Parts: sequence; C-alpha cells; structure tokens
Amino acid sequence: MSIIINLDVMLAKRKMSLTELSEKVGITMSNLSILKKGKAKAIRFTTLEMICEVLDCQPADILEYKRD
Amino acid sequence: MINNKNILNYDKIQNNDMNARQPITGKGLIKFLIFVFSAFYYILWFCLVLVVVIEFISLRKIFDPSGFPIPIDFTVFFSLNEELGVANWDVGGNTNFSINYAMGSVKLSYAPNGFIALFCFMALSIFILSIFLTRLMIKILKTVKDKSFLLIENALRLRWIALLGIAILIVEKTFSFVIANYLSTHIEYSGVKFTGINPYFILNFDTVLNSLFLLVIAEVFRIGAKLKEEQDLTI
Repeated sequence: MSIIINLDVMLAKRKMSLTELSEKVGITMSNLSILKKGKAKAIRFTTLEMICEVLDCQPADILEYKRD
Repeated sequence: MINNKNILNYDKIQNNDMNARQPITGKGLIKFLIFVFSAFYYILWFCLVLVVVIEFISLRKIFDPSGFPIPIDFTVFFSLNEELGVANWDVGGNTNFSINYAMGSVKLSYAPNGFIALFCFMALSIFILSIFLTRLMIKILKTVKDKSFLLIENALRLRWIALLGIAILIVEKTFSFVIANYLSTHIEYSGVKFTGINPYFILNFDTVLNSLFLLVIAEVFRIGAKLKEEQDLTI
C-alpha cells in the first residue's frame, strides 16, 4: 500500500500502548489493529482528529505517502 | 373522556411496544431452510447411488445379452394421428380434439449399449450438478445463520448456482432431445407418431430466466459485499 501508517512509531514516542489509545480515542482494538497493520481502506477525519489529539501530533506524523 | 380515537391510539401504542419487545428475526426460517436443503442434499446422494446401481444393472446386459428389461424410462415425444371426439359441452354435440406434442416415457426390453451409456451419463450429470447446487445453497444459508452473509464468496456461490441451473437445463434438454430423436426412428405404434422434437418442451424459458436473474442478483451481491468490505475497513 502507498500510504504508510506510522502509528506504532507515535505510540512508542508517546510511550502509550495500543490498548490505552483505543480507550482514549474510543475505537475498538481490532479497528486500531487494522489501522496499525495498514489494512484499513479509509479513515474518517473525526477518527484522525481524535488520534492526533490523544497523541498530540500532526496527521503527517501518522500518515506517510511512499511511491510504489 | 373515552372515545374511539383514544382507543385506536392506545392499541397502536400497545402494538408498537409489543413490536419493540419482540423483534422479527429469520432465525427459525433459516434453520428450517438449512434442514430442508440438507435433507434434499442427502436424498440426492441416495438417488445418485440408486441411479448408479440401476445403470450398472442396465449396462450389465453387455455381459449378459439375454438379460431382463432395462429398468429405465426413456423420454419420448408423440402425437396421435387421429382426431378424437368427446361430448363435454353443455350445449351438446361432440368436440373433436387431437393430442399433439405430448411427452411420455417408454420402457424397452433392449437398447444399444451406446444408447444406454448416453442415458446413464445424462442422469449422472444431472444428479452431480444438483448435488453441487444444493451444497452451495447450504453454504450460503450457513453464512446467513452466522450473520456474515454479505461476502464475496456468497456472490460467487450465487453465480455458480445460476450457472449450474443453466447447465442442468442444457443437459436435460439436450439429452432428452437426443434420446427422443433416436427413439422416434426406432419404435413405432399404430396411430401414434413419434417425433424427435417437442416445441413446448424446448420453449421452456422460465428456468433460463430465473438463472439469468440470479446472475444479476449475484453481481449486485458482489458489489454490496465489496461496499461492506470497504465500510468494515473504514476506521
């Protein structure tokens, strides 16, 4: 996939676990796992906003485009 | 103050409450359908075994030419040469009628080996295709029971069911036509004209139309499954 999800990098920087993030953002673990593994087809702006708010980062810190 | 309008509204509220407490589910229907199709599946297997045994007995005459009559009914199309008459109207008088393009079956005491083998191949093909079709239906119903039916696999199964339905129809019509055509030149009976073709038998489009409709449904289902997959993978 061309869009790389760097969620685990941000989680490591903020010293937060996936479980903690899912509780704070209000998304299920399975959905976050899908996002982390790069299998998600789309992400809602509201979800991205909540993740950025919890991790105190920019969308570009989580989403990266890499040409195939 | 009690009036009819109040009573009607009260009944409506009560019914709405009842509906809220007892949602309509299809669980019972799905279980019933799974049971019916499973029973039909095992009946088809039993009939397949029976057909194999009968065909073995019929083909046995290859080894024993003086054997007994072939226990198979062969399709024939026939018309009666003469016009018949019967009095059946209230106003009186006879009505003449004729029997044209009727379909029946005959039992033979002898038939060439190739002919019997062809019939056996047709019967086996139809049973095997029907078994596959029933198996696919059961798989679809099981996914419905598990509430995960909007899958690409189910769309493919529906497509296969439609194609198998068309295949069964083609096999049945082709072989019936071939057998009736062969028999029309080899059997005779006074006053009966055996024909190789029956327009009412061939112009039977409902199965084809149903199968084509099912192909359309399968494609719609596939698109729906794709949309659901996208929706499920949207965070």
